[in-house]
Parts: sequence; C-alpha cells; structure tokens
Amino acid sequence: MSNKTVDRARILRGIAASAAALATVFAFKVREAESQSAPNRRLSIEHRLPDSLYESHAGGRSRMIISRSATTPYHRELLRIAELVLPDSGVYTALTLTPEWRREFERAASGVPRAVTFTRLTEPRVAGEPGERWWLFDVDGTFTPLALTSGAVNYYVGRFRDIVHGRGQFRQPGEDGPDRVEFSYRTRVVPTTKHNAHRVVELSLVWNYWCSTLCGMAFSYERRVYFDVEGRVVYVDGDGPASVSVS
Amino acid sequence: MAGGGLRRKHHNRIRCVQRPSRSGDAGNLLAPTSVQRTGGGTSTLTCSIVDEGSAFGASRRVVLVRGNAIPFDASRARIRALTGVLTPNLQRRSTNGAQSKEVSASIVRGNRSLQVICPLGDLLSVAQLHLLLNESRDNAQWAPIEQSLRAQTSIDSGVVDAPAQPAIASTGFYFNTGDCGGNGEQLRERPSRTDRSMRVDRARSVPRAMASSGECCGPSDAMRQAETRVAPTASRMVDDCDPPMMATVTFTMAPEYQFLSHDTIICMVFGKCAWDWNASDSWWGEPELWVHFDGLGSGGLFGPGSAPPTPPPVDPNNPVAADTIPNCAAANLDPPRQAWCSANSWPPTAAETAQLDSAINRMRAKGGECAQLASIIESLRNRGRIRIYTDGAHPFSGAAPLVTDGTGGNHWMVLSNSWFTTYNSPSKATAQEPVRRWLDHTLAHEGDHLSGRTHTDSGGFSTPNSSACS
Repeated sequence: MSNKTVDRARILRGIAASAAALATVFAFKVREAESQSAPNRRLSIEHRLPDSLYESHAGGRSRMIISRSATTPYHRELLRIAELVLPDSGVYTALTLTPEWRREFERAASGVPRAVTFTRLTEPRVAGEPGERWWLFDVDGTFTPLALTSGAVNYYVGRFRDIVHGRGQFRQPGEDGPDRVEFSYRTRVVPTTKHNAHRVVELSLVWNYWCSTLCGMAFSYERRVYFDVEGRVVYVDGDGPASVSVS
Repeated sequence: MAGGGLRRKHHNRIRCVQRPSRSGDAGNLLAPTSVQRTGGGTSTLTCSIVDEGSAFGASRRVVLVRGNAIPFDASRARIRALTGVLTPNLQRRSTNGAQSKEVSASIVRGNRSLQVICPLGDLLSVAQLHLLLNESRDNAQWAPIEQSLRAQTSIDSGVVDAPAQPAIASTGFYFNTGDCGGNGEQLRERPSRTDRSMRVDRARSVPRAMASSGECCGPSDAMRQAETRVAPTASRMVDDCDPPMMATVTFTMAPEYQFLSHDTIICMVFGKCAWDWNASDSWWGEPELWVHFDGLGSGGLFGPGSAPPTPPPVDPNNPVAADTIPNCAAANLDPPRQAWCSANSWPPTAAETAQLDSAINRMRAKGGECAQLASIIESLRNRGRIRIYTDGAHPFSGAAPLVTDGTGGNHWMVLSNSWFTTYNSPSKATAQEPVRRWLDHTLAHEGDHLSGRTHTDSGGFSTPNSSACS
C-alpha cells in the first residue's frame, strides 16, 4: 500500500470521525432544544409522518387523508413538538374504568391488542412502545387514543392499511362488501391568548370504521398544545380517553 | 403499487423575507429556502399542503382558496372531450416527463379576482381552461370557495376601499414586501427562469396598502424575534405571512412525474397554506387512487419516558356519574353522533315506544345479565336517550358509545327505524347473515356496548349477550 493511499485512508477516517462527532453534538443540541421547548414533559419517539397524504381504496370506499399544515419553519417546529409530547401522568390516573377494563388497560401497556377468538390469521398491529403510551386499549383490534401523538398517527396509518389490505380482525367481504374505513388527521397552528400562550397547535383525528351494519367503531379526537412566545409548551388540552361509538 | 413511480414535487411557500440573503436570492419565490429530507427531493418546511408526489398527480385539478379545496373535472375524458386530441400529449407527458407550458385564466368569484394557472399549456387553450372553470360553477363546487372569498373581501375592505380588480394574466408580477417588516425587500420573480414550480402573481391594481405590515406579518416584532430565536433555521421567516393580495401559486409537475389513472394537477389560489378537505368530498367514490409514503419530516429520536401509571379501579356499585350525550355543536362528529343529532324520530313515536317497552320487558324477564342490559336500556328510554333515524341514512343499523366506566345508563343509543317497521319480531328477523336479527337482538347488542362489551364474531354481528338476551 502506498503512502498516498494510507494518507487518503487516514483523511477519510478523520472525516468520518469528525462527522460522527458533529452528529453527536447535533443530536445533543436537538435534545437540548427539545427539553427547553417542553420542560417537564415526557416526549415520545418521533415517527415520521407525511405532510399531506391522500389514499383511496376500493373505489373510494376507504380513504385516508393527512394534512399537516405549517406556514413557517417555526410553526413546523411547534407542530413537531406538539406531536411528541406524551400525556401527563394525571391523564392516566384520572381514568375511570370498570375493574375489567382496568385490567385490560394494564394488560394493554404492552401495546399488543387483545387476542380475540375470531381474529383472522394476521399479525396484530402493535400500538407502540410501552414508554410512549398514547393509547388506552383496543376495541375490536383497533387501539383508541389517550393522546394524539405522532406515534398515534403512525399507528392509524398502519391500521388503515391493514384493514384495506385485508389484514383487519374482521372478515373483509371484498370490494362490494360493506366494510369501509375513513381516517383523517389534520393539524394547524394558530395564534392564541389562552393559557397565556402565543400559539396553539391543533391536532384533530377522525377514525370511522364499519365492517357491517352492526359492526364498527368511530371516534373523533382533538388535542391542543399551547406554546408560549419562547416556544415552550405551557398547556396541553384534550388528552384523555376518546369517546368511542360502536355499532 | 400504483404510485410507485411518483416522486415528490417541490414544496413551496409564500414568505415574507426580512432581510436579503447573501446569495442575492432572498425573497425570490423561485428559490425558497429548502431543506433536504429523506426520500430524495427537496422541500421547504412550509406549505405542506402541497402534496409531494402523492395521489394528486393526476388529471384532476385542485384549486385551493383560503382553506377550501375544489376538484374540477379535469379528467382525461373531460379534457379529451374538450379537445379531442389530448390523449397523445398526456401519454407523452407521462412517459418523458416533459414540462408543459402554463395556461392561465382570470376569473371572478366571490367578488374577487382569481388567477388560475395550470401546467396544461400543451393540452388546453385559455378558452378551454375557462370552459373547465365555468363548468364547475354549474355544479355548485364554487359555493364554499366563494363564501371564503367574500369573507376575504370583507376583511380587505377594512384595508382598502377599492374592490379587487380582475387579475391580469402575466408572468412578470411580483409583490413588494416592503411593508412586511419595513425592510423593503422584495419577493421577485426571476424572469429568466421558465421551469419554475411556483409563482406568485398579483393583480396590478391592488393597492400596496393591502400589503401592510399588520396584514402581512401578524405578530409583533418582539414576537417575531422570539420565534426567530427559537427556530434559528427559520431564515427570518415571518409568522402569519398572509399577504392579502391576489396571489396565485402554481405547482407544476416534477420532471419525473408519472400520471396515474387519475392525474391531478394542483393549483393553489391565494397561496394560503391551509385546506379543508370537507370541500372536496366529491372525491369520494372515485376509482382507486393511492400512494404510499416512505417517511417525511425531519429525523430525531428522543428517549421514551418511563411507563405511565395505571388508573385506579372504579367501584362498580358506585360508578362515577358520567352524563354524556353527543354535543351536536361540536365539529367532527362521528357518524353515530351525527345520527343522534339528525335523528328524525325523537322522541320515539308512541308505537315505537310501545315496541321498545315490550322488548325491554322481554329482556328483563330473561334475568341475569339480560336483566342488567334491560335496566340500562330502560334508563336510556326514560331519559329520552334513544333516538331513531331513517334506515339507510347511515352505514350502520344501530350504534351506541362503548362505555368502559360502568355508566352505560347515562349515555345514548341510536337505532335504525327498520327495527321498528320491518324487523320487529323473531318471525320478522333479518336473513341469516350469519345470525338472524330483530329489535331485541339489536337492543341487546347495543346494550352490550353500553356495558363495555365488544363483538364476538368475525362479522361483527354478535356481542356476548345479543343472542342470549333476545
């Protein structure tokens, strides 16, 4: 090996080491900025979400719409943080559940849906990591939210695709059958003076699933994350169990 | 995958630039600050409304105005009907990705002038574009947009007395943001560039006063500075940049763009980064059109927190006194709640009430859990919490909330009237599907949900007590 080749290898190793160091510093800075933006708030893992998305299946019977709007990079950052903030512990302790559902709540910490006898031979979709719990428990194989985070949206995107591709828990009667699912997720950042805040990020999710005329579940869910002028989370509104309608 | 060939289009935004950048391109809308993201392509962080190579790449054109979206029938069939010779061009575009010339048309809607610019120059004449736009007027697609436009006119009237004049089709407009922050920078179109993916036009007759600082740049200087501190990558972006001028933003197709069965071209009018899909419900029922995303957004992992605490159990003999019925004034009501709010038989007629009472009595007579379900349903009946809607108005034949705190009797239920008019006794039950159902069966089914019980069969027809209690 020539000296020139050795030197080149050293240089490349040096560059790689520098890049790694820079990446570490950058990651630290990002975390630092994150902790300043959401002090005393537990944050979830960030799940990549599309800014906008429209999917239509089975002749439009099932469709998914995502629209994450932000007019400035600052708003974009607020939106990102709003989707990372996990519920306060008070949200969990304030839950009122029957003993049966309390046990189910504890069991569902794993993120794995209940085993139901009629489950199709498909892998059940896991809600997420226990440490980033956004869910309450599952109803007919679909988890219902306790908080609207990026993890939650990521789950519903996957759940939507499970269902439209025949991987739902219920029998899929085919294109001419009655099953249908609608999922939408929208966000916006707007000025506010509530809670002494400067901006509020509004997140809204709608899930409607119908497997037959007497089988389905639907809920709408909203979350508002308030930020002060420094970009810190000052208040989170809307976390808690969804009011789920079933058929 | 139907959308396998799609690539992201550029994201663009309208922005107010406080200060020119060193590159000299500051303020040039054709060279917005871009952020490299995963999956290839560049995109700015704003105007996320503009889908990046998703399903909107096809022959339907979506015009967005102040948060409203409207799909025009710009399908291949429609274009072919207009011109008779478009298919070859469409096919050529789909294979070689050639950029099309733009075609623009000025129209007036809601007392405001609009400029619609679409990359259909190879396919449509101005007159034909007008035809498309005018055609949409006939089916009331413009109604929600016109409402927004009138509202905007009302807002603007506080700034300028003169009504907005029709925009002039041109490529040379720019808007001066000297009033947006007071630094006098301009957002100027680069005349030499022809393959732009975004352009902002402005009616020449719109007075500059409309672009006042307060209108364009929302928050105070202090707020802006604070935001800049928090978001150093913002490149001096101004929050709430919403120039109250006629602006048309056109998104052309990326070179690698491929047509799907439903090619859509997105045009944004007003350039406002917001939308409301409720206005585009006519998309419902269109043939399959879908894409996958492979992940957008910036990266960054943050450590998960510790596992959350668990809630205390509720004493079933002393449940929390929840008292919940749908709030019909709320937005985004789910379909069962919509059924509650629009029920056409509330309170139930005397005949319906009699049928209901008979069913409750039969259920109670069975004892055990059936009697408990009967108590819940009777509680609803006595509180006027059972509403009946016309069969077929919703995709379900009955619904209730899933109550997990033991307070089912405080909630509500909706039922299709078919259970009272048609399927109201065992001899008049539905066909085997796989179970035969009638009023009692459905009441027990929904009663189970009010008791926190879920479905038990693969078709979702049954609940633990739906058969035993009917």
